[in-house]
Amino acid sequence: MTIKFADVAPEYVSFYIAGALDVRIPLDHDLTGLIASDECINVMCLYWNEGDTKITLGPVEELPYRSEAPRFDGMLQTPEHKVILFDVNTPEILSMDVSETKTRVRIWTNHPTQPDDVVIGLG
Amino acid sequence: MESKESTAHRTGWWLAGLRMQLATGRLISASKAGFRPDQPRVPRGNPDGGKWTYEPGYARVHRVARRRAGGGHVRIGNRWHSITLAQEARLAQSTGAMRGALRDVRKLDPKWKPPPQAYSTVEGLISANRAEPGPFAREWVSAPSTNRRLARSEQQEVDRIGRKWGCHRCGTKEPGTRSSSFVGDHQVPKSMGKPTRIYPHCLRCSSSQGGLLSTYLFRVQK
Repeated sequence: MTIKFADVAPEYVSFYIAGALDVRIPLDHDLTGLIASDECINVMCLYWNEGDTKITLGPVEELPYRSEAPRFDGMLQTPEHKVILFDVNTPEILSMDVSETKTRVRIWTNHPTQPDDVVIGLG
Repeated sequence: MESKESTAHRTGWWLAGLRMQLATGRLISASKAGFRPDQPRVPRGNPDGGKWTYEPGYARVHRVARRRAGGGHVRIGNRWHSITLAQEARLAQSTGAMRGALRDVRKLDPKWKPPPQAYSTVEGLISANRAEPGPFAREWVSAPSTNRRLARSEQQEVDRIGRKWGCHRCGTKEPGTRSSSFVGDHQVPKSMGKPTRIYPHCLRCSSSQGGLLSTYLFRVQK
């Protein structure tokens, strides 16, 4: 597998990571910047008018080594053996096939609520 | 024993209250059922003189049911608010639409409810039901006709409006962004049409709206 990149400017300062599009998106009422359920992770990012947010998606063993602990480390349901990144206007920002129906996801961000660099490691 | 001055003061208050009641009555009559004062009526001298009538180019007259005894008020939060017949009709219409949407959203997030600030008034409640600009929407910036970002002057205008009126949905004057800029909220949302206006949004409302819209578009509409 290869590492994938995307520069995005979501209309609603968030993008979502899930195993399918028809999921319940957890809402971040407490502005934690990152909130997750079993089937979807809501990641806040930079306000669209202030620039793009760079997203890196790849198998964790292929990503460059990071000394800091991930901001999120949990399991995501991936019943269709796929992880999809999407937002309200883009049904697929990035996607990656996975082997299991539950996939470990680790996320590193460079800001608690408005990162412009988000790294997502799978597996 | 009260002094003459105190009695005069009380009479003044009483008269002011009476004037206020009369003014409110006139206001309620003027907005009754949403009729405009210049809407055509049957001329004086006719058997139906004074009643609303229909002329080409004007809205048709529709009979509305008489208000039930004790009606005319709606409870929002812990307070009762006066409501006109026109507002009642619009509220009923918007509530019907909102109930369906709310039912769908609560299937996904049983605990979700709109922030209480969003509908602390009758108009706020109607507006919140329709997912229109929120109750604090007063001024806006014209949305660019292309998909470009806002120019610095446009963002400054969004911020000025936000600092003056607050987030158009919840009214907070703290945008919550790291730059202290308000998030420009397209109305209508880009996913639902071509936006013509941009209102200031706080980070929390922007994120919530995005999650709800995405849920609606990708799950409920499926």
